[in-house]
Amino acid sequence: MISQPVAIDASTLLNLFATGEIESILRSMPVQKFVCSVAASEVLYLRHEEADHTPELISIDPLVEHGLLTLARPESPEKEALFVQFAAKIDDGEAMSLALCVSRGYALATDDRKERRIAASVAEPIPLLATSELLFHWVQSSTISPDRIPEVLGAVELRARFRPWPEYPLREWWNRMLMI
Amino acid sequence: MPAAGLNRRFSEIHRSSPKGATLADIVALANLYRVSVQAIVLRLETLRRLAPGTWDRLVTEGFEVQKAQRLLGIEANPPVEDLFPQRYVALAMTAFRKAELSEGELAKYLHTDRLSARSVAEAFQHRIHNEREGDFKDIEMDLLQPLGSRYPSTSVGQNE
Repeated sequence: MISQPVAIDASTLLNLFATGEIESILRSMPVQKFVCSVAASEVLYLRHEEADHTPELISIDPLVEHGLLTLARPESPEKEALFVQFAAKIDDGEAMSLALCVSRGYALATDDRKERRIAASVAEPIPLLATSELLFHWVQSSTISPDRIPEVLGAVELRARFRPWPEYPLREWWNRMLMI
Repeated sequence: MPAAGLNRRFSEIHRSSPKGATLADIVALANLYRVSVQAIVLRLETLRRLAPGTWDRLVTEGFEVQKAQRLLGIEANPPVEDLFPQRYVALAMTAFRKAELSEGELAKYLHTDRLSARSVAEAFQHRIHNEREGDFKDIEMDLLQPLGSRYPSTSVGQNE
């Protein structure tokens, strides 16, 4: 499922942080992981598990320092032109992730419907991944206690306020695991 | 909070006051970024613009965020829904649900961050739910769909 370098967009990065297992999940992916500078700057904080507590700040800096994520930005006029082209259709962070994937042949991890639609509509469609698929891969490739899976999925729903939408990849698996 | 922007604003505050940034400046900065005072203090500690342990010291000294915000006339992060007309928020939500707006664009339209935009979307979703045999389930709906009428539509003056 994960066979080429992956650019992780802000929507998915936020969800991965919410799992509390982001390091382990990134380590389970046998490819290089990238995040665009703009997307990284959009991932700011997570909700606390208790509603009346202050949000928890998050930062990709330790992940970059440990080599689990690589920061990327368009470094040539051609790539910048591609970025501008996408930026006319979608937000800057998302546009930069799309431009990176098109120019370097990466897969894109995003949970955003519009971004996925655009990614699928380019001349050579960008391979797509979702948080659910990254978590499924993590579960399959690691020794995760069955009790931990619903906790992780629940944390994404609670702390990142993300819920799988109707045609979301592996939605049935997600919902089934939550019932365990 | 992007380091570059926060650093720049903090430097501006620092330059404008001979004694440096005050607690009031930090509270105002938190309001500007729509994050908690704790979040902004900790971020500034990480960026080495405030001494490590500043937040812990403030807590020990009995700093009360809401009291400080009241003194400064700042409402603690007013809900996004209060900033815009409901119709505007509903239009943005509908476009987002139809994948005509991305999450990043939705956050921009609502002048907020991604997580808050998700919370607003979730709140809208929860307002529309379906009850079946005592079990409440969310249903996907077009928020701006015409609800129709039991009567044929009429033009102005037609039934006068």
